[in-house]
Amino acid sequence: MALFLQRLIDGIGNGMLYGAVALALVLIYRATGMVNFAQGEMAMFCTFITWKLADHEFGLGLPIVAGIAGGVIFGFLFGAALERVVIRPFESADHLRQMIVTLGLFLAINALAAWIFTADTQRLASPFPSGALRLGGVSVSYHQLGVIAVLLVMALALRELFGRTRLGLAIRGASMNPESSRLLGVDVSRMLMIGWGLSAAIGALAGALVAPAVFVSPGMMQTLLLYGFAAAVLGGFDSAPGALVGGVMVGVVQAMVSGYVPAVGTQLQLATAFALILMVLLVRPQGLFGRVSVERV
Amino acid sequence: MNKNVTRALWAGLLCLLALAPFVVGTVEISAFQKVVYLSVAVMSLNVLTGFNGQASIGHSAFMGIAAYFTALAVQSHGWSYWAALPASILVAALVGALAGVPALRIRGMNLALVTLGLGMVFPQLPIRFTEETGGTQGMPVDEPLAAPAFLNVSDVAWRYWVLLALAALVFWLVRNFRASRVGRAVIAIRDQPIAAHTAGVNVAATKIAVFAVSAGMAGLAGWMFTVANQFVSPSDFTVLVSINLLLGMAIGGSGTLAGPVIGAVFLHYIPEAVNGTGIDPVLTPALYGLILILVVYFLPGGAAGGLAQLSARFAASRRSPDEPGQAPPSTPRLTSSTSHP
Repeated sequence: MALFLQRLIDGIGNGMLYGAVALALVLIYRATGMVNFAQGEMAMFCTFITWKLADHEFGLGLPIVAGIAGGVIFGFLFGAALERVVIRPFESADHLRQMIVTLGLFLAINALAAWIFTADTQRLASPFPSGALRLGGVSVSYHQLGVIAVLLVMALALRELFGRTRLGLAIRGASMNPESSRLLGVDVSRMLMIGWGLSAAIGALAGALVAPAVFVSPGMMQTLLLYGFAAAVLGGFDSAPGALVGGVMVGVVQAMVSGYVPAVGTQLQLATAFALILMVLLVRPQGLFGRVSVERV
Repeated sequence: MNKNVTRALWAGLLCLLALAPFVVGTVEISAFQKVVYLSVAVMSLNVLTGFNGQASIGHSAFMGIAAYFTALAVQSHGWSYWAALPASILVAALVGALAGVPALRIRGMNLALVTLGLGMVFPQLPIRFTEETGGTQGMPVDEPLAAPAFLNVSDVAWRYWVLLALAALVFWLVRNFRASRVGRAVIAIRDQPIAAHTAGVNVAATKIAVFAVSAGMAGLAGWMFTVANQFVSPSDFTVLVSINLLLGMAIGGSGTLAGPVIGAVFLHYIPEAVNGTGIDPVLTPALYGLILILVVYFLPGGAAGGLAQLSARFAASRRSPDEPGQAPPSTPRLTSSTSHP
């Protein structure tokens, strides 16, 4: 029983991170209708910025919290700049071309990070104290607790932003009905830029929070991206709460399957994400919280 | 371009390539082998994406499945390469058909997600079964595809001819397929899925069939990989390989016949050229990414499409202005702007 609870908690901890990546994907999808395959690499690049700011040996040696803040701010600017320079010319292109463009970004950002920073694996400290909270036979590390708390706060802040502020309303309007928004004086292109910026900033936060566990390297976000996709598909690609719930579910499923199915073990954990994507798309393509899309002919 | 000229060009190219082992050394022939299997791999993606408009980031997995199947069959179970050839293609096609099923219910990018998953999970499989496959270390295959004794040629030349002949066969089949009734239906699904459906094309079955055929072709490229390298490892079949295939397709020209050849030449020789200029090889993928974005923006027809446009313009300028010339052939596009609301 203790083992089960332990796996459950580990799964929820990982799942929140998947949810954050999924949230970043969903934000971009809702804003521009694009599936951003470069999301993970963008987050990786920002995490390298955080590492550069915070590392004592190779970087500036700032406190880790300042490093994360710097990475997140950089992420916002980075995402907005990418939207303006690379993505905007393809805003009205078809899915296939958009996919190829984000895959091009994937290659470019990955190689640039290896060139600018390092191709080696680096450590990044956790912003939370080490050690764990023991409850019976279950231990929850302060890092896990901190990750869950930070991401919950982030989700609530986003909810406020989109639900209660003029800016959030304008972003939503720009993505749902660009024509009408334009008539009402909303600068649609700028809103899409902000959407990309926000999404990259969320990715940067997720990257900095996952880095103490997976370390910092050019490939650090690649498996996380697939889990993020699984979470987004499960929650419904156009639902922000769905992304987080989907993330937690993917995390729990992953922890349970790799714990209780010996054939899967640790090496094939990634296959659970793949299997989930496949199953959801076959059984309920709109996901748990997504809207059924109706195609007009 | 004139049909006969095109045909003569292809035949001439094939003859030149076939004579290559008498002219150049073993190193160059090995490089040519790589270009040959890469062009089959890019062509497999081209059939799926260029002709049918379906996206895949998982073709490395289909290649890998067939390559590992061949390696295991020859090395561990005593099969001959020739016995493994149809079997490995069939296995890859079967997995492709299964992966293609979600394509029926799914619009837009979801098939890309499924294939991305496939491409990312596949390299984990040999690591999971390290005892059989050697894991991350990879797996050598000791037995080469040997030339028949009576021919009295070197094994390297023989392997190259085998790969070249199979690739030529594939290109010839694709060419005929494109002009066939089914081929037109496949292209119609890319451009106007609803109209194709209305015209009596079974869109669902055709899409799955195309996915299976494409995966089988990628499987053939995988078999060729094992024949050429006598070694397989998980890092040979990562998602990056799939993205490179997409790059080769986009640069060569999607939906064309010559495009995959141009793309494969690019994929093999550009990294060497980049090294020659003194740019850090770490940056090669960054260059790839940049080129990919620029090509999609400025040259959606790829190199082959650009050439076709040029030659059409040339032909049009030679005709007298009052003679009603035939319309210039439409440039092959990466895909059409349909099927999303």
